[in-house]
Amino acid sequence: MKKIILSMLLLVTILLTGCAEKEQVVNLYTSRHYDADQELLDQFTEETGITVNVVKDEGSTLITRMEAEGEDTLADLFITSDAANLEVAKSSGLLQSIENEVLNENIPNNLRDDEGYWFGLTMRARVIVYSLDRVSPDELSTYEDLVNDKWVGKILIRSASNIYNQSLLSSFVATKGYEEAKEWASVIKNNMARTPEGNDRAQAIAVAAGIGDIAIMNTYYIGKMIYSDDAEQTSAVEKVGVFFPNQDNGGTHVNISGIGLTKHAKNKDNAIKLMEYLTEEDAQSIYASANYEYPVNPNVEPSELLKSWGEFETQDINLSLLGEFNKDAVAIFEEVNWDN
Amino acid sequence: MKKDILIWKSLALILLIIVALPILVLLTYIFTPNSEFFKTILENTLFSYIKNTLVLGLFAALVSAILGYSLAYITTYYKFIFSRYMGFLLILPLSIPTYIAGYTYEGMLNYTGVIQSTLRSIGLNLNQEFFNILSMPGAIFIFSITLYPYVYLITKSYLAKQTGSYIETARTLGKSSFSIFRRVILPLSRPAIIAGSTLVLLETLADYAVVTFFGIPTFTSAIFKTWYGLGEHESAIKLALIAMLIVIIILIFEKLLRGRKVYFSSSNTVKVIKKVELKGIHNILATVFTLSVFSFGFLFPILQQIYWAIREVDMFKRVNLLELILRTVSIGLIASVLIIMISLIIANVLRLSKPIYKRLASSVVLLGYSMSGAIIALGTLIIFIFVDRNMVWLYKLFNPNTRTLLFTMSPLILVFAYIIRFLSVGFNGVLSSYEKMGNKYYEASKTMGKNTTKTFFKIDLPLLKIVTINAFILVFIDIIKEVTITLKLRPFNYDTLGTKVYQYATDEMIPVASYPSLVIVLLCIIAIVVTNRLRRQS
Repeated sequence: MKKIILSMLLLVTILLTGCAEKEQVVNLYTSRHYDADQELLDQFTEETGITVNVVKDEGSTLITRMEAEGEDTLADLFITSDAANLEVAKSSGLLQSIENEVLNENIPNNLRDDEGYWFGLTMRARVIVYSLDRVSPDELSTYEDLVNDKWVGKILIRSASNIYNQSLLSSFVATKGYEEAKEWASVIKNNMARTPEGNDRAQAIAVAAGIGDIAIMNTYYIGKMIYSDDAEQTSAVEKVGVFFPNQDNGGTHVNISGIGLTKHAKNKDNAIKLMEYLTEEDAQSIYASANYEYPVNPNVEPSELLKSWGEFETQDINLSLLGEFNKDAVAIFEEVNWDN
Repeated sequence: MKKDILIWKSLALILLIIVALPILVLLTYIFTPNSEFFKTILENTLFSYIKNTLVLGLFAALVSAILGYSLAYITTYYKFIFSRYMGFLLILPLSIPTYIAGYTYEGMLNYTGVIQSTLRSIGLNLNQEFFNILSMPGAIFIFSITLYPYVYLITKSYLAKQTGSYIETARTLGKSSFSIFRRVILPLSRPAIIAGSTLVLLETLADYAVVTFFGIPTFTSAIFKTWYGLGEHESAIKLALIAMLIVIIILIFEKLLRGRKVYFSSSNTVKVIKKVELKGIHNILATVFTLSVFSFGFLFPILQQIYWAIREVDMFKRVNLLELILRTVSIGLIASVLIIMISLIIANVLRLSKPIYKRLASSVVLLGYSMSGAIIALGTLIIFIFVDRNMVWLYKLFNPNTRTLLFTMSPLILVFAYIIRFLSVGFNGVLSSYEKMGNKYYEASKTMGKNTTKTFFKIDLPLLKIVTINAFILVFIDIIKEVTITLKLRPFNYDTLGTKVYQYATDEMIPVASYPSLVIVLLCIIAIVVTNRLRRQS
């Protein structure tokens, strides 16, 4: 017993003294949990000598955490894998705006906040995946067309708790209004092949397996499946095609991963250095090649796979609106009882 | 001597208050105004959330109770092929985190999985519905097959220790073995069965990962939708409190069900149960039954994971396994030791108090286990930030450059939250064995002039050793599998085996996740083996 108490005390002392470090650091709260990201950060440390400390969790819980921590927060930078949470962080007063030439040059206007509160790092498209056997791409056109009777019992899509579904619906609320978006969601629910279940990959597999004919999913996971080590997965994904909807009206829905400087950042200079670093060509091409995401930097080409799908029109919408209307989207999903 | 008891009592009281603190903090959120979304949920979907939650929780508890108890019964009283190993093997499913079992089974059964692709290669194309595990029955299966060991472990140790003499008496009275089971063993083991299935129920209710993946809208998914989707942590907390209320109602009902019957063991020498050797068809049935539960609960998912791990062998380079293991084990050990110490202190005081205090304390301890880890994490975070802000003057005496959130950004916050969440797992075991032991040794020791402290160390602790080890192992396994709290509260650059598994699993890289996941399983097995050793030694 005594030994245990003594060792506990020792532990506390180590904790207390171990914190007095004076090296150059930048502290990052991120909801991106990919190995490619860690490689990038390690590379940054190697080049600059600045240590990057990372906390990884869900975007919204990181926001809750920063709110609770207030001005004492240690976070200098906040990264999420969706625009909605960046906007929430901005409107909750957790971020600060910066005017930075490098960032403005590397990132196109539509992929960063107008006021400089957050900046896009990578982009993904929410596309329609269809069965090559049973569906001809001529039958596909827009997200709106999915309410058509011919799709009754044919559509596969994830649950309402998925942030990319929320963002897709938010974009409809933003462009068409609440009622029309709700109407869309309730008809889609009727047209589903099954109640929402599984992850993104599971939707594509379900198309291959014939449970449904089309699925709404993320380009990122299609890339992951095509280059999977699992021969069965790669052969399943060969049975599906990728379709970019709304090319003639409105564009395909995209979402971004992005970064923002926190309001109470204590290592501001280092933080901005890291922001710049992540948008430069080197880092951007790593994002593009390792993670099947579209780079935001126009000087960097997407990976061969993404290029093979061709260029596409992206949804013409201010990404901030995804955050603004996220609550409406979640409420609509609840009202139409999407998951049941 | 009086002073000695007073110290014990106040220590127990302080510990109980600290344990209740995060929940008390959360209770204050009841008074925040209802948001629009909260009303939307109340009006539209609350009923189906509650219905799904109850169906899932109760069926998982029921199936686990049937599986766990029948397995405990068979392995305690009978000999059959492999029965010598089954006693141990049937614990193993507990070492697989439930969500990993869920992901693994889906990966095994889906269109690209090993079963269907094998069938396809021999020209069989079967109905997809047949293989779909992502459903309510599928979820009940996953929870039962991974959590039944709670019932199994608790009832087995109870059967082994408590029923020997009753059975002998019944046998001398010429009762048949079925009538012994129905009239004697089953009624006697009811409290143990209920205690075990309560753990299963609570663990199921707190789950988020499995129900989300399986697409079953339960109360937890509502809580997280509110928090993650809307950033309304206030509404999420309120929903969690409603869930807690439901749990409390169930538990009160359970207490009524259990009644006031307390069985003290009739003699102090544990009668060794003479195992009956099963013959013929009975032998085969028992073997097939135990073997299939073991296969579905452990063998099949593990083989699948080993297969994946071999395929993803590159992962080995990506993960610093040694660091992950050291971190996971050390924080698991520290938290488990603390939980057992706290349990012993509180239980030692409670055994002398009135039943009402016992019930009250058990309920306080149980609150943490009945809530989702994420909500516990939030309560803990609020408290730690408050304490840090008010103690920063003290930290500055040690280190003038200290940051304000010293403990909030340290692993200590994890230890604290683990204690809140898992205390009841350890506490229940310790308290029930105190109850079984009764007060006769304590009273004898007091008459001989020993005070409470001396009695505790010289008499109680040695007698409770085995139960304490059992409770310890359950807690330890729970903590190294834990992931929600760790994700929400971890300091910078802090990965455990659990968070690594979760990271790859949520990124839809289940095969890659098998690496760290298999290590968790291995650690749990080592822990169980060590416990068995210790148990045999004492």
